[in-house]
Amino acid sequence: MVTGSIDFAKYDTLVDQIRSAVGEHPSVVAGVGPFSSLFRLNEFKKPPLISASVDGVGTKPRLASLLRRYREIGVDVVNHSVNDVLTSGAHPLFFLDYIGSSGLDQQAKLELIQGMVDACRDAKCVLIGGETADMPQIYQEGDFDLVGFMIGACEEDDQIDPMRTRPRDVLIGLPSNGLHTNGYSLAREALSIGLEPGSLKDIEFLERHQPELGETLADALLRPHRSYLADLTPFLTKVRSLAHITGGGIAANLGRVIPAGLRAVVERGTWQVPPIFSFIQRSGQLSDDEMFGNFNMGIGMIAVVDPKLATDLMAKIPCFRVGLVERTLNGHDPVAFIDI
Amino acid sequence: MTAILNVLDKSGVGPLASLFALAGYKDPVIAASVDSVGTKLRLAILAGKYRGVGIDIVNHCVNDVLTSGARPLFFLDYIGSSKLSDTAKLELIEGMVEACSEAGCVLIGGETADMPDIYAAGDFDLVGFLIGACERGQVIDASRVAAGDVLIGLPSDGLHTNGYTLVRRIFRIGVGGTAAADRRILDRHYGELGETLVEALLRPHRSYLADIVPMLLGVKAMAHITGGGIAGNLARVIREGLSARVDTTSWETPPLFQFIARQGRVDAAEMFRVFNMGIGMIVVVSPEKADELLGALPGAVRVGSVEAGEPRVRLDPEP
Repeated sequence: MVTGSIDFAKYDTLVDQIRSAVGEHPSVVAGVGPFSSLFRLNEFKKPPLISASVDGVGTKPRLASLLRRYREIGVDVVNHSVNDVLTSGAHPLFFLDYIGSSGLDQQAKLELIQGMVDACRDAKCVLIGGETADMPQIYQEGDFDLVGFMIGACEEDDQIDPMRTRPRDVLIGLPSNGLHTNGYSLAREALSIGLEPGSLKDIEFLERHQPELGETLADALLRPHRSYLADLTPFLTKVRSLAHITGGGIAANLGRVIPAGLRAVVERGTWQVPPIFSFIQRSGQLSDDEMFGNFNMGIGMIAVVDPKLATDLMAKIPCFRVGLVERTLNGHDPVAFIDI
Repeated sequence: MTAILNVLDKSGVGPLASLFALAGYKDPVIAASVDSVGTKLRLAILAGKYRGVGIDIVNHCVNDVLTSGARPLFFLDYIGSSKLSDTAKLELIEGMVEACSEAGCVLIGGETADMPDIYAAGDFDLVGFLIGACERGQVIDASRVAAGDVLIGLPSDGLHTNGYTLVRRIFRIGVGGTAAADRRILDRHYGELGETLVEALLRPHRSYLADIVPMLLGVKAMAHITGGGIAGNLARVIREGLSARVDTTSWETPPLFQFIARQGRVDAAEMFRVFNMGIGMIVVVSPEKADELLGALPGAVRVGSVEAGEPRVRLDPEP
């Protein structure tokens, strides 16, 4: 006889454990467990705008599996979504996750969830539901993919509209704290970190202290994606636009918020590129173009703001003035780099 | 269509997050569900047919959100893959768009990740995320279920999205044979199914939205029959002290399930644990309301009732 049923006794414990990690939340009508989760919308004057974002964490889980460090990846997927939702002017309300894997043990799943719960709490939102799928037919043993769905909301009048961007607006760069969640395939190639599960050679290399970094590569590479919610909240209704610097680097992401007829001129050299990027570049003999096309290079978010707000931001939050918006002919690239 | 008008894209530049105007509600509650298609994907990949699993993922979410009394507003998808062809991605998205349009909601955003380190070439995982809403007073609250209530079963269209790991093992699909051998197994026509195995197995998950929405008033609970079968899912809406008795002779098990049981020599208890056995949704209503629903819902069958006692769900006769 063939059997194929799922161990639901185990599943229920996981759900119970998730439920206790998440705790209570006043707006949650039905949380982790039922077919769908329910969330009450209050505190809005008029019908709000709902903002939604879906994100994965790329191939960063590969490193997490190798080092058996999962909590940080949980923080990554939430903060990535928090930052995406921020770009539309919304604040996070609730979050759902998907963990697709093969043979990922319960401890690892709980660590992932703990990271998500912690990051949700920091963002004043709540993990309201999720799905865990064990699929040995798709994932290799120990591998996993992690997907996050974030819902946020804002008053209709508070929606960020990049069309208000003007020539001479200023580009304010907010520092990243590492690679965030992008460029990991290239980084691993550059650092010659293989994919053999449990490779002692790779683990030893990753956990060796690197004086140039002041820490191990493992710590530098697994540092969780930074959330810009706290820094940007006081200014959210005043910015022209926000570009979250993820896959494709500054050019690809800043380009998405620059209207036709304008271009953003990014002045390289106005901020210090953190040592992890130089380390990767040297190890893999990568060109500047490859680096800027794959990594955030130390800038995790760019706020496009009027000159007055730029001065205000420079005084109040850690950031750099990284360039300007200028008029250009239609058809030109929306982002240009100059070296200073 | 109303939903589509609510999508805000005034800027014309590709946004990082999608925006949706929640208009027309007085005191809205948001319902959210995340689902994946599971191992059915493996069959779709082997067969090179993607549109159906696009429909699957949306309808699975639509049914989940429906169980709380909400109607779908918008949907987001995630496709994690390696070297998945553009044609395949487009077929997936076509399926999702078609199902969204059927459900009166809109595909508002998504993410496509190409990750050769995680996925083998041509493999992918598909995750769907659906947001719905309803007025706070219209939330379906399963705590109102009481002894004497009637269980109404709605027919499924095949396996929906559960039980595929077992099916693959029984028919030895994608378990080390060549692609050509797998195709031969999948493309074989069976008289008792009236179609090929792949047609029977890849039939999309049915949406119950259109049938149930006009009848929502008075529905006490709904159980979407997915992984864990009738007992596993019905138990989620039956509170302690009550017992749902499901008469397993009250509907005819569709040929596909009988065929699977015989081919795999799977006993009936295991069949009921793994598959929906022909019932894709169970609606719990008061006895006064039952006849109206049985008359209005196509293919609806009275499959049992709620009694005081335990266990939460009792299959009778026990399979």
